[in-house]
Amino acid sequence: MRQAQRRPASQGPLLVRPRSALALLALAAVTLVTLGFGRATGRYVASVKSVARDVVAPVDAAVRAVVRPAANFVQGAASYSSLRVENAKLRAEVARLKVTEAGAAATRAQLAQLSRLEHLSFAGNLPKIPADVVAGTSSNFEVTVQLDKGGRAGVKVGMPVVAGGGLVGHVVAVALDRSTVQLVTDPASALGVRLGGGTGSMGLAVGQGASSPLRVQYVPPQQRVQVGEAVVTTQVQGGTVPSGIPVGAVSKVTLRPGALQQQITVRPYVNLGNLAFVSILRWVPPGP
Amino acid sequence: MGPPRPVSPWLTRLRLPLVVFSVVVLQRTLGSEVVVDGVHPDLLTALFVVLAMGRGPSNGAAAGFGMGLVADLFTDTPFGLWALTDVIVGYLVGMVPGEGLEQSWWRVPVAAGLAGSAAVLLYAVVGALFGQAWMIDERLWKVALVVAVFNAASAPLLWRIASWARASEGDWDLAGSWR
Repeated sequence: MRQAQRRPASQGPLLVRPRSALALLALAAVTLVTLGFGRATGRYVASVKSVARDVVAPVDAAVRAVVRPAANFVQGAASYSSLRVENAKLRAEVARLKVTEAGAAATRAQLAQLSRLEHLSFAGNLPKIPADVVAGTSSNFEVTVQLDKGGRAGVKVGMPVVAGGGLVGHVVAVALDRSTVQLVTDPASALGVRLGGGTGSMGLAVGQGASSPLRVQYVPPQQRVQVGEAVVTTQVQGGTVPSGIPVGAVSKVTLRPGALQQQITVRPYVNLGNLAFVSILRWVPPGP
Repeated sequence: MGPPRPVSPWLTRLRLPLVVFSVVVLQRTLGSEVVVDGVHPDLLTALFVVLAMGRGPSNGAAAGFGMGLVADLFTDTPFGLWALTDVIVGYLVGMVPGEGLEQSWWRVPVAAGLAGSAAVLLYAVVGALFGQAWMIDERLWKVALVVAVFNAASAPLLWRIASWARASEGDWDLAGSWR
């Protein structure tokens, strides 16, 4: 009764006072962010996300079945002539790659043998889970794709994903029949790489957005780097990928006077803007 | 032929969850296909802004928190970032006086556009504060601008849907006379 006299009934409980509501809700949100970063609590958050995605998945797939053909039709009609030219170029490229592939097989076998001797995981030896890309991202702050395989098929967070022999990214979220792959071009992606086709200097390849090349950091100025040389993954401590997966080719090298590192950009081998089929490698990063 | 039977209050209360679910699905399907200069629309932000508009700061913050959590469930950035961002934006949007919103056709789209771009910019800043420094880059202004245009374009339709979804006045009114 005394409390009611101090505060008019119209003011109600604490949450109805605007500043209190703002403070309480903001505090709750900050708590959630903090919990999400925790190792144990982060797992609970991931489980909640997984359940939410499983709930939406069937409706999502049904709506996508209607939306996708319409979008493809509009896109295809707009770029029909350029697609024909691209198709011819791709046929020529396939013929050329068949010849290259024959020579590369022997090199791959040698690399696998060396990797075994060095006790490193080599991508070529790992079992794969084939998957279809069912959707791109709808967020403006992540560069991801959704795959049609999830926990039911044995997919786990951290598994690397490849397409046509090149690295696509790694799994960051798993639902029952869906998984989310963070592409190498995502600005939050960073992976250990080795230049010179796996024999050169080590560096860190960082994403710069969907349509931008990767940036390789920490390559010293004295290291000789040439445009066109291959960049492959290397398994560094706490790394998210095994060694030996081709990432891309060096597209630009700049060295400013007095700089402590070279500015290197790498164009990914895989056309990440047009992914359809990928393979998930059954490899999980070793725990800390 | 008697008078029309009243709709069950339980059914009317399902309107808002149904609208939110539909917008989530639309964002994940249509939203991933529609791209303007590398930027996707953000229907969830647009919906929460029209839900919060003119409802008072407390309701605005609550709408922002709820819709932010929903957005967090379907993104892979740190969980809670959208909730924190939308609480602040919702609080500010809720302050917009509700009486004059429908008097001019441009008020709802302009307010939704401005709030949408504010949400994008604040999200990047909040993300950077929590260690996601990469969120602030040179394309941020472009994202904020395109999302503002998408929000403004979708606001009139979403405004009507939101009015329908708010089953009855005061159903989720936290603020009462504090608006």
